[in-house]
Amino acid sequence: MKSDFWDTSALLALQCASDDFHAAAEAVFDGDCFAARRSRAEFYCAATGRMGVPPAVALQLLESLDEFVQWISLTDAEETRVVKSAPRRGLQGRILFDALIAECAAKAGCKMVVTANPTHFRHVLPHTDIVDLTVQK
Amino acid sequence: MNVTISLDNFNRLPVSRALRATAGFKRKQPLRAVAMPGKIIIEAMPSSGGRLVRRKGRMVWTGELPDGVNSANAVNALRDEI
Repeated sequence: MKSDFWDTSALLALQCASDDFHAAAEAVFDGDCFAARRSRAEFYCAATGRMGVPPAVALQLLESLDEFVQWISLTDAEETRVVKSAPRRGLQGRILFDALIAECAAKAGCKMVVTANPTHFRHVLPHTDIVDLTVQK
Repeated sequence: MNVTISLDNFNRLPVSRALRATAGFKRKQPLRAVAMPGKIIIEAMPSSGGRLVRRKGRMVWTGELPDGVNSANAVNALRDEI
């Protein structure tokens, strides 16, 4: 049964064998999971940008996840609620993207988030177990 | 890393050692520059090596990443560019 939620960095680590956190991601991955639909675009952008993955390869990596990942979207109202709550929650800068992804984890009812960027998730999901791939490498 | 730089007297764009190191750029590495209104993005060229292999039913890419680049800092950099 799916119960864990993977953020964009964890999905990239899982699909790129030479990534610093690939072994940790492989060790944690149990066959299926939830992730935010917006992570699909982030995956492609980060893979083909700084990570230097050829575009056609990045697309294949992404499509091969479809069998294992249930992609979660936010409605306009849910996204608006997260953005409006940002000042009250002390969210400033790029952490807002993690807050939007975290909202998908909450929507899916996940109790565990797998990430290679743990700091922001500890802030936006303080009551959720964070699996930090950076300490498991 | 976030710094302020200026075009020099010859309209060249100086990119400091610290910026290059943070980006993981190596000496004489081919780069791709993408210009748009108000912004130029300079990034590593896609890797020509590596191959796709199947692991536990998923496709995994075996190519090398640029020096200093990993999934965590690649996502952070992406969001900084937005």
